[in-house]
Amino acid sequence: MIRISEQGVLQLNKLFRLFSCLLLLVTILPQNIHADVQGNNTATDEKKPLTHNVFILSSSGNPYHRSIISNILNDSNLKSANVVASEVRPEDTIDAVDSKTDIIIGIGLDGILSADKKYPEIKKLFISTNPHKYKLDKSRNKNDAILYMTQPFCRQIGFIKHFSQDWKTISILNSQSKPVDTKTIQQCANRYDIKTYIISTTVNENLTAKIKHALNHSDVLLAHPDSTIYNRKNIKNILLTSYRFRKPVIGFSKNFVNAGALASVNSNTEQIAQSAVKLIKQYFDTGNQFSKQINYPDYFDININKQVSRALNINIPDIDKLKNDIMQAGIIKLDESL
Amino acid sequence: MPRINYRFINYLLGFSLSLSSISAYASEDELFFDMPIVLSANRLEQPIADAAVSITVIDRETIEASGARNIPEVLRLVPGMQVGYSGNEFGSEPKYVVAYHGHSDEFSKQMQVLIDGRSVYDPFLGGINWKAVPVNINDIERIEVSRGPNVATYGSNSFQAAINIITRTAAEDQGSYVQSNIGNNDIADLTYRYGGSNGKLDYRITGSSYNDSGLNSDNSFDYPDDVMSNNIDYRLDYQIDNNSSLSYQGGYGINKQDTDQNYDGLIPSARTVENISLFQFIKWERSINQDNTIQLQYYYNLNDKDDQYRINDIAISGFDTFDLDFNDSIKAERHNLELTHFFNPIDSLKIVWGLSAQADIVEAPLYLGTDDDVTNNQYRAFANGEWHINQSNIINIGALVEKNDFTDTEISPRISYTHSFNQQHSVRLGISQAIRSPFIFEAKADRVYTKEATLLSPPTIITLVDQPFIGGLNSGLGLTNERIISREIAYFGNYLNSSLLFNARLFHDDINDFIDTVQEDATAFNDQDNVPNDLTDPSKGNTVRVFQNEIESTTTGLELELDYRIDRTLRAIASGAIINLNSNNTSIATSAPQHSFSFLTSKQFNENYSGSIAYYYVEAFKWTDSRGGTDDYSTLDLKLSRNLRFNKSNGSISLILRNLLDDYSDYQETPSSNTAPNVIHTTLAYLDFRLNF
Repeated sequence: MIRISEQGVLQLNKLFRLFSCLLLLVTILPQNIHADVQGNNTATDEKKPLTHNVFILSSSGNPYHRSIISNILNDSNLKSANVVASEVRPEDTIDAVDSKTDIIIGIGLDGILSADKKYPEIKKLFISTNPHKYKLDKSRNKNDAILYMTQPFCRQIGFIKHFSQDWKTISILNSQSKPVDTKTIQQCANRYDIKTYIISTTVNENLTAKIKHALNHSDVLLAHPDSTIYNRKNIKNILLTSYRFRKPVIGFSKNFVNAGALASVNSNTEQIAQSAVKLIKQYFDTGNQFSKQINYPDYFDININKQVSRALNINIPDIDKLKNDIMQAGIIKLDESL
Repeated sequence: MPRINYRFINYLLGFSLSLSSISAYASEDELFFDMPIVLSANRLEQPIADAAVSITVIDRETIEASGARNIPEVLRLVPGMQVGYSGNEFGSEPKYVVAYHGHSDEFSKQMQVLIDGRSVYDPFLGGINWKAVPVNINDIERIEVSRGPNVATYGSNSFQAAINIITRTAAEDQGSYVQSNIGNNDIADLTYRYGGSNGKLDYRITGSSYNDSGLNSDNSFDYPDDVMSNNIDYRLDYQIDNNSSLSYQGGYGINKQDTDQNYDGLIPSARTVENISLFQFIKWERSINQDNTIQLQYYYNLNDKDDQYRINDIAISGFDTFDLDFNDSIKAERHNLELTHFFNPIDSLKIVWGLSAQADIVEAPLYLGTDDDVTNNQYRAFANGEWHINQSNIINIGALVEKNDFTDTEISPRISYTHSFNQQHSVRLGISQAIRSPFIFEAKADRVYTKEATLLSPPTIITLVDQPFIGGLNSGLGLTNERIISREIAYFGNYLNSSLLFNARLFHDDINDFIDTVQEDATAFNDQDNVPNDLTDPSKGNTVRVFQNEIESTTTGLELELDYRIDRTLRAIASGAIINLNSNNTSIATSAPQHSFSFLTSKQFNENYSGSIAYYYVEAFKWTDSRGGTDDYSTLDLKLSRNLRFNKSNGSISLILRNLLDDYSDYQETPSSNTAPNVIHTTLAYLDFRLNF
């Protein structure tokens, strides 16, 4: 008969814990090896003081969300926080999200819906593509905030104004399924003393005729993410037609500029993550309060297609100055007021 | 429920984002989706002020405002350009002739014409048979006319000028489109086009019929010149991936042209000439990035003219009357393969270089004295560099090296320097040299109409044309390339916030070794295979007509262009040219109008109505094969349009009135006799109806 002393029990407990740890290590080891092979070994498993608990809920299998999450996790500004990510469906409940969780970041519609429905008591930062995809209920989510991936119209209009003083009228194609906020656009345009020409399109309409009409009545076409207008099928027609009219297109992504738009103000997933981290940091720094409910990326790029600018005989302004100009305080206030 | 460790996410990310087609994530895909490079380096044109030579751009808006039914009519807007409709006395079918700065007969040989980069220059007789070009004016997006030699950009034969016709891509013409003209002079045109897309493929097919009764005559000769032209052309643009695309175009046209052999040595023979034209054009393009594009293209052109006729009851003194069968048919084929690389090694430098190989194959028994094919192989290398030294100074350097079967290898260089004083004003100094190689008929001509008359003893070979043609090379005359050296000073100004564009060009062109036919005593050539030893000429003695580099000329002048968008609804375009042409050949010296002027203004009155007025003035000149030349003439055209809008379609109906001033002839004012054609332009009125649906 083996007698186990109290000390022995303690030692067995230690052994059991050690065994459990080893088992866990074996389970996750292959993944860690893969991660190291990928060269993404920027974060470590070192134990750090857990000052804040952040839980990220995102839609399942979305590479853009994963890229944003990866950049958030790797951001040095969140080194001291315990950040965990999970992919969910709207109806999913995550056991690990509990009262110790300081904030939830919901990314994409599934992540947002899951966070919003299942954890009403926890404050949240939502990350969504644009207001058409998800609009924050300001009263119900009065302590929450949202970060849109797109650029605010006021920033775009400011960008256009600062790019060329010769552009007096901006045309915008507006679909019925995803209408733009004409009131805000008009207010921004007034602020910059620039005219807007907003043309409505429907799915079955001849888009070429609409584009020509828009270009005929404006100096520049401002594109915005709306797949009913700007999609792989139409993009060639839009760019070629604008080029025929010798009128530039201001796109909404680096790919758009690469395809033939003159320029764009846009944020990539890294900059969206950076902007999210900035909001989280500000949230913790100000006593778990967001200073603004509706947010757009503070970090963004200006992309310019020099070949197009040369072909259209458009001078390129100083990019750094342009960026500073459009970052002037208050530029996006109107968008935030929505 | 998977709970994902962040390192695991990193691992997955490396996999997931490596997939290029991320289409399942509609929301973010709307923002980040991959797009094909649409405006690649080769599709982007440089600003006109930066170009190496002077370029006139006729855009779609101008084409429509002009009310033109065909391409030559639009080209009257180009300063220094001459447009005529030949009804000459040499028996070939009447045709549009477009020339720049004179030097032209009914075949305008010194000008290149390209459609989307495909040359339609006739490899056999030179020039362009505009009626047989299977491209519909409704498919044209813009026409760029390079005024001055520009072989480095547009290839050989861009000697005095080059016309580059750019059609719309298939993606730009989606849905159905119908257009029709109905008017006097039996004008009856109909075009139907359908464009669609299927995934990565955009396509367009256009069918058209073009008919009229030609021009009228003001003398007793009722010239048969009805035109019946039917064409079909198509274009398929396939986006292989974001960086690569394939474009395939093709066309087939049948042009029937009434004509009448009326050369004074022969009895008139009314007939219908049938021209079949066909082309196949495939272009692969890969944009490695915005600054680096490779293009490989191949095209095949076929022009097959069927013109066989019999002249009955020819009576020559001393012989019994007899019939003579002519086979005036010509079949000309061209294969062309070209590789072009557009790249910008640094921001300030744009380079285009390429290689091409071309084979021209011609079958023309009556002209070449053989039933066999005659070929001309050509090989070219070309390069252009545009260096923006700084914001104010640009240097353009280009050259083309050409080797062909008929002449020695030659290089055609070009250099220009552009200085911009500020955003509004710039000046360019340029000098360029170009050559034009002899085409196959010039090099290999062997045209002798002979008949063995058997009623006499012994049988005699008689020659039925006073001047048989023989090719310069065959006769051992050392026919060589035509040469031009062009110098220019050009000014570009944009005023009123770029709403008014103005350019002026002072030029001085020296042309040497210009090829013409000269009449020579046949005995000097009787040892040549292609010259009969006994050229019995009924009227002018024993002579032959030989191609030789005979002519020198100097052309100086000034061209002006103005394009003023007065407001969004009103635009005025004007151009003018003053040309002083001197030559050791009197026909050449008078072959360009000293003054010419054009003006077009268009106005959008409101959403429903628009209108335009065009006025053209051309001073007297003489095409080199025209006996009478032209008097001064001016024309006035009007167009009034009403836009139509329906539930899901739109269109317009227009009334077009052309030649509202006096009747005029733009080719030959005074024919040699009342049995010779003297075609005149009278007032035309037609309705233009078009509908997109």
